[in-house]
Amino acid sequence: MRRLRIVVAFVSVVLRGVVRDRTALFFMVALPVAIIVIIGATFGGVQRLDVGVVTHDRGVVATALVDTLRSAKGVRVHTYANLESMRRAVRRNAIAAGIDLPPGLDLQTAGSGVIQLPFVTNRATSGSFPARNIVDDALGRVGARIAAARLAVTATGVSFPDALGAAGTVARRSPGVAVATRDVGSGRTTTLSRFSLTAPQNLVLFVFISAAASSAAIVRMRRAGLLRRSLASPVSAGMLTLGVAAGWFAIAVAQSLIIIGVGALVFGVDWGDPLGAAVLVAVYAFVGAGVGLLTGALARDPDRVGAIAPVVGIVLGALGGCMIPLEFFPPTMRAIAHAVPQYWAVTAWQRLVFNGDGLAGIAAPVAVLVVFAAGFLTLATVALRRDVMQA
Amino acid sequence: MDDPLLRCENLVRRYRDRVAVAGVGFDIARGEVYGLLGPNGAGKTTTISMVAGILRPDAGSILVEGLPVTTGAGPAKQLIGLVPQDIALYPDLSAVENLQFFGRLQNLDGSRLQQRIDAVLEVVGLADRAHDRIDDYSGGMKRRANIAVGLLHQPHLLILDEPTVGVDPQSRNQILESIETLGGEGLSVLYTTHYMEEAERLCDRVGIIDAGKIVAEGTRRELVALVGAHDRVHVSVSGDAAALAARCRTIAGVIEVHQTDSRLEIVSDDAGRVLAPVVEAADVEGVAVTGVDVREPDLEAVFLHLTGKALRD
Repeated sequence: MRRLRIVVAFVSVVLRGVVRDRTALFFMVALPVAIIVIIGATFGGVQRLDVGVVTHDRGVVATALVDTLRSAKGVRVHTYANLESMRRAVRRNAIAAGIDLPPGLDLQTAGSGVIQLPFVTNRATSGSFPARNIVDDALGRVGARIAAARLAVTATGVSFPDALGAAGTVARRSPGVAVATRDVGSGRTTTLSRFSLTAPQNLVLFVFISAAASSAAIVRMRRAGLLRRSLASPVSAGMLTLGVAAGWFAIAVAQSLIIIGVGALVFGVDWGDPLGAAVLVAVYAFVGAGVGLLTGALARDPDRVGAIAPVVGIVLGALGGCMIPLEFFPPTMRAIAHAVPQYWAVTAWQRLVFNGDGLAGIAAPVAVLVVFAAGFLTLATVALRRDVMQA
Repeated sequence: MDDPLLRCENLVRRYRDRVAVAGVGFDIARGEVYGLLGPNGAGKTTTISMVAGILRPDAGSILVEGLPVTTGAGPAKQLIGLVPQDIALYPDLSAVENLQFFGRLQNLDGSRLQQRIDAVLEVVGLADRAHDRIDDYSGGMKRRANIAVGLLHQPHLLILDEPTVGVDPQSRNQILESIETLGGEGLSVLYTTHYMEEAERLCDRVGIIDAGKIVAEGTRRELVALVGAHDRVHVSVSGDAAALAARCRTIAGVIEVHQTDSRLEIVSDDAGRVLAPVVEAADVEGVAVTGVDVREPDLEAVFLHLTGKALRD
């Protein structure tokens, strides 16, 4: 009970210090949320797709294609008078892609030849690939009706426009083919938010940076003699170290919960299995506490810690896959990444968030994180004890 | 000393090859203010750290109220209050919040803790600024808050490590008065300082430490006697100074008399005892005394005599 009271006293005093430090609050809360929003909005995917169409006439094929595109979910169709104006729109990123429907399309489709339609897009943009899929899908749907109309023209001698109209009517009235899907295992069944890619990576990145940077406070505590004075109380060096570590553990947990809460409530991030996420947050918070304690025990100048720790955190975070997905790493870098705790934390979050794994699925990376945490905390305890218990 | 509050015996502490404390031993009685004086690097801080339970001695023992002082969570630490030389307070927190934190480390809680916080803030004169952040305090106020933490749990022994460094005269006087009051109330104090006049004012006994050893110990007068220093009475006269000098040499307690023109320097073990007979002798000789200046040897002289005048880093 007394040990718990001492730990609570340290946690309370550390958290109060952080809450009153606006710089620390900025790095703990504001910056991670801002980065999640910026990166999520930039790379996290597309919600609405703008597609262009150049319609030189209002024939039945062109009308059918435009209607099919307009009926696609999340697609907004812009019409242009000529191909050049549509190209300009693509260059300005006003639309993700566009298709040119040439004059006399009905006549061309009535024949048996292959028709080529100019498709304009900028492959460097994130909407290019989805737009191509949307247009392909629309052409496939209308193409099926064209094939049916051609057959009707050959078999019955009706006009192509009438046959195409009839094919469209039949297509709308025909019951679709029911496709049933069944997920097996623990695979994810829900669509991920666009922020789901970046939020876990930023949690891993910023918890580490905050823990390391805020360790400047431990250096100040050492230099001011606060830890030595605490040791003059009926408190052992072990309890003292435990109390300070608990304070930094609390900071890491608080920051993780803030990022998880904001991510879930504001940006719709699904963090996966709650038990797995809770264990991962706790273990990674121990890693953060160990890093903070070790840095605070070894460093001499708190200002240098505040300046250098974020840079080191960013470099290790990049190495661990917090900025570029690990899948993009070349084999050598991927092998090196195993040496940093961020790699294992990002891997565990990927399994929780993308694969829908549970606690069992993240057991291996969590075990490695436990080893990291134990190592950091052990070294920190030795260093802090040596520092405090000398005259 | 029978039944001392603090007993340190043969304390030894080494840092690798360097011996910082080499067999220090001293006692402090209940209600006694004991000054530990020494040049930089003499072993004061190491000795204090061992007495406070921060540092484990390589040899020797420390007992407070008969309980051994250890670096663990033993009960002896509850009898000791430490006021370090540094302002060991959380600057972002108020005085009350700092006291709450350190109070909890001392097993205080609830209304008992609040009572003690109120009491110590009153003692150090910070009751009206209790909820201000330490960062917003002046240097003197920080020093007083630093002392308040040491007094919070009502220790039997208060260790004060140069508590008046860098404070204004008013705060310094307030701090010294507080210590005098606490000493008068029965609190034992282990006091280190570089200000000899503080030690003379506060300390019942003084131990002078150098090169890790106590080189002298006692009351101011005992230390003065130890180094052979004497009081000197300077008398300015109008009249036959030589006749007065001759008569003064016959006064009991006078060791020697030096005469220069109309000035006499009378050397004595106790200036207070010889002053009246000197004035009477002047009256008998028909010499008018125009001025008297009594100079007692101070601790500084003793300190320099024992530790030398060479600069220490």
